[in-house]
Amino acid sequence: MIKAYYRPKSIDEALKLLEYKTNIPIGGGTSLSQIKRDVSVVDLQNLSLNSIQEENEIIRIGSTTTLESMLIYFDQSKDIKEAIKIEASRNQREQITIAGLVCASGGRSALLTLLLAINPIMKWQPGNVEIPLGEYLAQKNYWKKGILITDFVFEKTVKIRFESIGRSPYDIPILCIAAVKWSSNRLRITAGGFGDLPTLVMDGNINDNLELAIENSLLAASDEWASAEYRIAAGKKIVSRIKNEFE
Amino acid sequence: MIINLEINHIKSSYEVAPGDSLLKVLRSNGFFGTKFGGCKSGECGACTVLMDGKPVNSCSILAAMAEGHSIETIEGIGEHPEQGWKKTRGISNLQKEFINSGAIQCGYCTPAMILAAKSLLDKEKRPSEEQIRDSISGVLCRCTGYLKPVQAIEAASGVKDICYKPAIFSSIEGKSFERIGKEDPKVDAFKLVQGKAAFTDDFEMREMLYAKVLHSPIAHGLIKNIDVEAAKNLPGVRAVLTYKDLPRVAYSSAGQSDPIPGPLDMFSLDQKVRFVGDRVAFVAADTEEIAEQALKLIKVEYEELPTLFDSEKAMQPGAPILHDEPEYMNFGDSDPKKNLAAAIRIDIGDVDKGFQEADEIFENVFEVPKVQQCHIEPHVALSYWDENDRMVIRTSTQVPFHARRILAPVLGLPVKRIRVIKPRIGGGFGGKQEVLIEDVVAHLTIATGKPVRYEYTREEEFIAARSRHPMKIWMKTGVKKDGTITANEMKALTDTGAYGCHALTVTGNTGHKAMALYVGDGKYRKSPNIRFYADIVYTNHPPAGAYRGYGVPQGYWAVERQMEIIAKKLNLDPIEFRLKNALRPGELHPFSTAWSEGREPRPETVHLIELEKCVEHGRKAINWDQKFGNPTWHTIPGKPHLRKGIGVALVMQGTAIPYLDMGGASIKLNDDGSFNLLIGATDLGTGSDTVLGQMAAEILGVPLEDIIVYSSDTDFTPFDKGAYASSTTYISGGAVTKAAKMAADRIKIRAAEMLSTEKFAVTPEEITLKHSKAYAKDGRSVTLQEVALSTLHHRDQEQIMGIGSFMSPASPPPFAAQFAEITLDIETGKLIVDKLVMAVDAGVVVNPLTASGQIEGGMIQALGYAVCEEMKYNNKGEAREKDLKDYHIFRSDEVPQLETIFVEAFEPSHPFGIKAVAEIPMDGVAPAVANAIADACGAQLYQNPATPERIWRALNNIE
Ligand code: FES
Ligand code: FES
Repeated sequence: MIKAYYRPKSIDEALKLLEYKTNIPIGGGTSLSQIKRDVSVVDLQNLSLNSIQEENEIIRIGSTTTLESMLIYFDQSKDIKEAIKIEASRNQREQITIAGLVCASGGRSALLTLLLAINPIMKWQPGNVEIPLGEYLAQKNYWKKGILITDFVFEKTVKIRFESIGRSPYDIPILCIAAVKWSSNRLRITAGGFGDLPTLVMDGNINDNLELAIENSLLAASDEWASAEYRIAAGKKIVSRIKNEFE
Repeated sequence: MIINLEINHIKSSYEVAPGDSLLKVLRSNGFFGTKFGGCKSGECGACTVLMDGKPVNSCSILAAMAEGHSIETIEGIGEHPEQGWKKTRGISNLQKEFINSGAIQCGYCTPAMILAAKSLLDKEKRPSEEQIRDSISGVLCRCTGYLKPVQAIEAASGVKDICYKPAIFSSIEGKSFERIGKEDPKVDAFKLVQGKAAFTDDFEMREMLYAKVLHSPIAHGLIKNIDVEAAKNLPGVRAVLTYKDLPRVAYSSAGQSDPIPGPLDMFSLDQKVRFVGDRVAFVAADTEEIAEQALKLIKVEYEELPTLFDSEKAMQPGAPILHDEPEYMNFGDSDPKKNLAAAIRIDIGDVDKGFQEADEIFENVFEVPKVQQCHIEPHVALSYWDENDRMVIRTSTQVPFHARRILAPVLGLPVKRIRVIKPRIGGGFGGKQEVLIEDVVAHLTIATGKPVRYEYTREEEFIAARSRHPMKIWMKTGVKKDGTITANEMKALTDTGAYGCHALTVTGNTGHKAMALYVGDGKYRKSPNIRFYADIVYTNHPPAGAYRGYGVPQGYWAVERQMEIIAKKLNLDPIEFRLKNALRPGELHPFSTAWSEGREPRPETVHLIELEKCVEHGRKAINWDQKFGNPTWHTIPGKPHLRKGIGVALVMQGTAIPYLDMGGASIKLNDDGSFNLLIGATDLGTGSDTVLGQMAAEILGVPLEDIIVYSSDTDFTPFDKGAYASSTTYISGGAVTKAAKMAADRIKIRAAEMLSTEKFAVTPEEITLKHSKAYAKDGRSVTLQEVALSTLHHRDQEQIMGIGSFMSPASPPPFAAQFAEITLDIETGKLIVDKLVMAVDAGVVVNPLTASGQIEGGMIQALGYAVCEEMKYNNKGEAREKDLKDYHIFRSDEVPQLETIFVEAFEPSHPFGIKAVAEIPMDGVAPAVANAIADACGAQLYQNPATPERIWRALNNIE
């Protein structure tokens, strides 16, 4: 039950509000009906955290940037666009923010799988903390509540591939694989469509044994939506295609 | 808290609670165009509004968050151009095109679609189709298949000149109609496009209470103890009802004619629960929130009973018995001691001899899943005592008259003290052919004396509403080497879930329609050998019920997969093989001598069958001859993992239930020459009010706008059995035709008198009615207004009116050829359906817009059945799918290309030559897609939907 609503005008004001355990940030895909306990909500819309800026080799995406703004910004990248469209329909894209997605979604999320492969640096207050998204997700339950995510910093010069298998083109993935390649030949692959969070398949080199990596990552990936046996077989095919495309 | 909102450019202050959604605030302030689809996390988009010009789901935004933004609702987009002496700016161009294109079916999603489209067109003057499809991707529509909404937006943007008329190949000669066959806009389109308060929930009463139901968390058990004291004592709670409070009346929730052809096996509330989601208690409170809190305060102690989930174990000795209540009322062969809700045994000809005469016997086992109707408007009902102490129930139902009859004993009221009103329905598809929640509100109204409203959430739709019956189907077919079918056998095992709603009739239709199409060739035509056996058993799954297609899609999955497998194995052309064995004009419907929905069967000859023409036009449209068997077409250069495939399925449905279904109509002339048409028929978005209006307009010689249609109110309209069995256009249309003829005859008599002079006597037979006038042979005329004024006010005063009812001895089946083209990733099983074509023989097409809308929407629903929709349960009977995220229905931006073709011919059993179209599109898409998969890669699927893993397993022969 929502007991009070706040709309802070500054980050400091927001941080003060978020110090209270019963105050939670809202916006960005929070499902209102899923708020079961008594809370007060802190609406972040007036904090001007919704811009996308390019700076030299990086892209800085504000935490309250909507998926729709990201879709427009990444208009030329068909893989990012596809992940966003699978994630959310037009209306939902206007409401879900990048930080909301990172905090609220799980292993079946197409876009979170892709973000985990890109592994942007997340920034939050208090404390000016900077941490790669992968690290944040790996210890998600450890981070204390009351933080305010401000930015995600992406590297510009990476190559991105994303492939998803669902029951229809924009269905929640049964299996999705994202891969990011740096000019150094560093390759980072993630898999999603199952589990609590997307899985890091590998962070290594394009010449590594990708098929073995994906097999190891998907060994326990059986759930009510698909078997691990299937996911491994399909995953191997996808990573070998991605490798071919990157080579 | 007080917030300031700018809604439709008007700033006002609103008092809200911090947790109030924008949707709640809008609707409670009269903005009823913003609808609710029952979502928890914003999946359906029915609640779309524009916030600073962008589409958002108002159910998942707090009203407080909207402060400082500009909100637009459908009410701000346009209005009726004439409101008495006040002229307005009228409706917007976008709204006009939605009306003209036939983009509105039930209309529940329409305001949302229009707002989403407006958002696009405001910034993109000439959008691409991809942009249009993306712009409305947040609004799920279960009716239209999205083609017409996309065309409407294209037309509104001026991108294209759109021809809304589908392809019609007509063989009708010498009949010309004024209104029949015309693309008249729907009679309710104008109000729906404005988002008017037309639906059940768009109506509020003083002191109205909100109902909630406590659902069982276990699949099978006895309530040992139920303590409602804490719930009752919660401030704002007005009533809590349990099984102890209500009389024990066994009934069936299936909305069917009397006697209901199924067992009476449920109670409003029972001490026993039989599935996760079954009813435990009802609560009425001042607000929904209080009612929900009260549910949490009810303490229930269950004695868990052994569960039964596997239909194959249901009849085995020692299986848990679901129905041991003494009040259980059998129907036909039902036997609760064996968990048997219904059984069917039909033998036509000599099946065993037929198998002996075959060169090859093909045996396969198929499986079809449980799927959900997913009408975007949830089940919703409101009840109250009127000033005469009569129970009024305003409900989103397909069967108002059956609801009244079924509810009477359950509520302890005589039929005459119940009035059921059906406002507009936001989709039904069979899901509302069920008396599902009307008893809940009515019991609570009886308990409290107050109006009570209850609306399902989407989760309740999944756990506690009805669904399509899942089945296991064993097929055995005997075939000669030349492709002649000598005998065909289907054995079905149906899981009806915890209650036997529609158990007998749904599964009966599986055989009755799907097994009737292929009778064999040569001597087998005269005397086909067909066997259909079925057991319909209880399990601890949620009950199944009626769903568009009514058992027939299940049957065609098995039959059309079986035909494909046989054709492939015998190296026969799949289309020729089918046509060789298919029913032909003048032949007896093979099942008409054996079965009729639990009633006496009567032989019926099928006169009109245009299946060959459907095949001819359909194969041309999909370019079959260039693609099928062409290896080059099947591969894609540069994509070695992709294969193309093409598939076909032939299907037949029914049109109403012969000697049973009946509809009534009455019509009266008004002072201005317009007419009130009162029908019991239930338009659930299909456009039946419109086509029935067109029939009346045709006979009375007036434009459709002069027919004011009012339907489905048990106090005011004649009886109609309701909207199911593809019967409304045919049955209710027959009634309207009779009523209109009666009124027309009377008008002709009075007009003849008015046109007669001393020298020239005019007889009524010479009068023709057209252009709102009555014409004598010599060209002289009187207007219908003049006739009306004369008969109502001036001379020999009388009310000109007509009444009619129609029951048909025939059930002329529509036929269709359905085609699918796909692209398949043969490494992963990922499937894309590229195109669906349906050529349908539906008799005379009364309204090409509404009819093609039915086909397009049906094809996309059926595509869900083909590739992505299924309801699964864990070993405790808990549902995997509880929302429209996990249960995926197609979005506008992912549907394939659709093409509809009508092969028009005159059906002799109906005054206007019509047959049905509403259900048949559901039948052939799934097998056509699976047949295309087989064509692409050789993988044979026996179970739908064709999920990537199932395809991958079939491809790799992995069990
Ligand atoms: S998205 Fe709001 S009601 Fe469905
Ligand atoms: S017209 Fe779209 S849901 Fe009915």
